[in-house]
Amino acid sequence: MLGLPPVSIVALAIVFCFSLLFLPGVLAQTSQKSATARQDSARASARAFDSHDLSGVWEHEGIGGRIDSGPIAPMTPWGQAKFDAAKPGFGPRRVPPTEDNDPVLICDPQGFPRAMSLENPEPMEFIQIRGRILQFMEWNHNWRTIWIDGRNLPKDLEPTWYGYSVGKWEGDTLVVKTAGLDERTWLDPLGHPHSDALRVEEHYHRVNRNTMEFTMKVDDPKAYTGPWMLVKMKILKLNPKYEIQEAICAPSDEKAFNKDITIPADTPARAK
Amino acid sequence: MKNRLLLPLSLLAGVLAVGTATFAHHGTRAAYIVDPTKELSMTGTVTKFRWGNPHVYVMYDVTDAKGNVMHWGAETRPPFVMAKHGWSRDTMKPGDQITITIFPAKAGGPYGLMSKVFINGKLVLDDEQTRLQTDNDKQ
Repeated sequence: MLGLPPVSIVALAIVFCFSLLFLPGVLAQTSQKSATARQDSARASARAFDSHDLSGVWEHEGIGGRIDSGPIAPMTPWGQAKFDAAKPGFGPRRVPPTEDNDPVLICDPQGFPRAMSLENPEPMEFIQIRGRILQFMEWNHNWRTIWIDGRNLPKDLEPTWYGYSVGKWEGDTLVVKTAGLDERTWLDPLGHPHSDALRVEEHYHRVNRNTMEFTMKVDDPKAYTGPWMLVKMKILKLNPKYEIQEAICAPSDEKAFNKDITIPADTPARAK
Repeated sequence: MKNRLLLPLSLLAGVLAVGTATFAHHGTRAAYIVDPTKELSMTGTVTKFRWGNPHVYVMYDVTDAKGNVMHWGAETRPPFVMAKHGWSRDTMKPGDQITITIFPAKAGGPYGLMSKVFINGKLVLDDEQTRLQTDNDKQ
């Protein structure tokens, strides 16, 4: 029917039967190879990305330094009075540089949570070691510790500029709680206040090797009628090639800059 | 590394990809008219160059046709940002001739925010587009 001699047909049949005998082995080998490849790939991913390790230099996605808060909860009378007394150098309530009282404009510590509110466009470096994460902020050469050794927040903390922070993993999200915060700092450059009753909760979720989701909730019953998101959702990107630089707010530099530039530039020119 | 100036390619691209802007600390943009139609260009002599936080700035004198001298001041970004783009504390010195384009102060005085700078004829800063694209003061 195919014009092949009967002997050829028999030979083909024998070859076919033999190949059937060896096929399971061939298939097994192929399957083994692809399984090995998958394991190699998984190992490579594991090496490249550990969702429970936040180490690295992280910078803002896009142009940094944008305030990205959720709706701000109504203030209590105490909070409102503090807000009214705040004279920002930025935003809709901006006053001339001779009248502002934003603590950072005289190089007072930015403090927490403001230093992590991402109003600063500068990158940060996280270093994770046993039991703790150290966060280094490029702006003002600041650092803070997040304890991840299972401890709870101590009671009756004496307020400090950066407070006391503990973190626990919930799935792949690191939940960090902070208390013991000095109420001399502002939450943002707009002058939103806080008291020493402030509690802050940060969420860090490394969704892949290069990307981290970050949110920050503030809860201060003395200043606000409810919690609100100081950082709604921010994407941080890993930049393994970047080296954190020195960027210190030195009072003498600030004074010279204000005298030579900020104040005269913002003073109405005299009529000629 | 002293006096290392910007690469010609970045100048041709017309963008100094400064990337960061410490606007929030001083509301810098709010004090200036960041509008390409309001820029001022002038040539003057550097009297002071300060390399420090929060922002690098230069003071310079501009002499008009009648011989009157006007003292000007202009600021740019922080030193650690400018350093990434080839600036150093030696980028300018008193006596250097600069041709500078600024976004002028809203208050009307002789102050500005640097847009473009030539030192002794060499372009060392082109920050115009980045400034225009960074719309921070409306937050």
